[in-house]
Amino acid sequence: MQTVLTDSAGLGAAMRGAAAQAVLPLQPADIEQLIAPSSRMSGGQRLAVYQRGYFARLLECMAGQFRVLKQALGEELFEDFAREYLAVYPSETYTLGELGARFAQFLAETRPDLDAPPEEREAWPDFMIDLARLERAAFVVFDAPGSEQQPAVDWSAVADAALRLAPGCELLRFRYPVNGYYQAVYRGENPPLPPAQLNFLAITRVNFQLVMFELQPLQFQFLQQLQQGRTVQEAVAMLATQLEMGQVPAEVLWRIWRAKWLPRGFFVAS
Amino acid sequence: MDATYYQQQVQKLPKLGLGLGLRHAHFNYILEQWPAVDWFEIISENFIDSGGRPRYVLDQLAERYPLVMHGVSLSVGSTDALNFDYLSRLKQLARAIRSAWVSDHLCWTGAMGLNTHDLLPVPLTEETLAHIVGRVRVIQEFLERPLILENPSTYLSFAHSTISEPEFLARLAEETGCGLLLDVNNVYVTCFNNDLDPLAYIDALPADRIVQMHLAGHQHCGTHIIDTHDREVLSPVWALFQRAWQRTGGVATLLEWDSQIPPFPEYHAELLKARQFMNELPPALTARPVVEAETGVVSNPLSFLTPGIMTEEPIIASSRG
Repeated sequence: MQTVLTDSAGLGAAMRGAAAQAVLPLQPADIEQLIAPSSRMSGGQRLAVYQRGYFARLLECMAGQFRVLKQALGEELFEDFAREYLAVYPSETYTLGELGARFAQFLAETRPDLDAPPEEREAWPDFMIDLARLERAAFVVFDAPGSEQQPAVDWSAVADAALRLAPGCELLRFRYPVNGYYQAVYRGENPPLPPAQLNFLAITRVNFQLVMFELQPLQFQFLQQLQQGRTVQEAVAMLATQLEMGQVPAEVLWRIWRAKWLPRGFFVAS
Repeated sequence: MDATYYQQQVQKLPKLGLGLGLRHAHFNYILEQWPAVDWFEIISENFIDSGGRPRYVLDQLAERYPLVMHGVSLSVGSTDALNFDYLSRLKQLARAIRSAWVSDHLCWTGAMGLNTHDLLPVPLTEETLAHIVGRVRVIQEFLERPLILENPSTYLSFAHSTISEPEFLARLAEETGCGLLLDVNNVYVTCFNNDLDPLAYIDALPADRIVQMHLAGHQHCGTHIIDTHDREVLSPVWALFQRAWQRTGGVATLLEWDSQIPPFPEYHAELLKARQFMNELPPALTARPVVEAETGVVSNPLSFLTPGIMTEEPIIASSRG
């Protein structure tokens, strides 16, 4: 029953399909022996209620989790991708929170120009994949464990050595400026797809509100160092070397960033 | 612990009054107004992994209202092994928010490692009953409390079923001591879809095992009824509610509204209509149902289960580094 319900083909095609046949080799006519008819519907018609419901219910969830992507792709194309995604990557956990976890990966795996050389590929799939990654990351950070319930910290008294990147701080690198597009859609706008431009983003949370923070490439590299477990001191040293600016200017730059990032939930004190 | 122990626990569960489902769309209203609702029911899966605002809001509500946890992923009828990680999370949250009880459905949601996130019907046979009895016993031992199981809405029945659904539930309760959540709208939907008498269904249930009732709206599609949870309670369901209220002596009752969710005051007002129907039948009982096409509606909608991270308020700030 499950194999038939979760197949995006019609009921008969799903029953004849390899997946259903591997579980239970039945023909569509056999349904009437397994499922009792009602006074108004055959067994097959009754089973079809569940099949229609399976996709309709989960597509609604996908649309809720990828609202901006749905606008970018258009309703019909979004549903086509989401339906195929659910067929390839059906839910395997108790929570719908994981439903969209592999959607960006699926879009990358099934892009129409997958076999073309990179320089010949179309731009729009890259944009859509970036957008899916952004929406998924925002969804995760929104409900991830955060530091809101921890005792208030007097940041002026916290030494650099005690600073750690907050566990919920997500660092993302995009090929397109998807954050601007994302924000515009949530303002109720219908923005055009922007041209390619590297976009670096940190997503954090303060008082249970998401903060989308656009970064310069150097800031992104700096924060990545912290994410990889390096100390602030080590990351500042990297900064000094990379820019050939020397230790003191790097320290000054870090002080400016520290003041800006601390109230934005980038760090926890260890 | 044996069935008698859990049955005694069920008898001690409180009559909480009239409650509402906790929905993300109402978080702000509740935190600002603290409305006079007797109790709230949460969807367990919505909160067991939450480390963000949903859990923060829930903790505040737990200080002011009785709470009940209602799950949709237990899959008690499945042949897959029980998920003890999931059960641990349920147990942990139930303790943290002092959940009055923990409920789920007589159904399976998936097999072979998949989750359809639907409440699928089980064949009502001796074999299935024995299987589910065994699982309920394990679950109750693990959770250290009786499990409360709800009758689902069903759109089909299996040709080889040999036991009626109310008898199946009654025997399950007898053999395990578990409690029952009687969804009177589901009774109406299931009975229409399976050509059964809904009043006879309710009368066949053991009233002393019923801990809670659910009310909800549905859509009549002519050949079948879909349990849409997207509108007010229809008069035939109020009639069933009246019968069940009389039979149970007035157990905790909750209105589900999961799609096209109205503003909180409207939702609450619909719940309070229950007071009119506790002791007498509604006058429009025999009104002809409005028949609509199935297009665009689903049973037991899911989309309300995941938080809309930006639908309620401007919680996104965008800054430049």
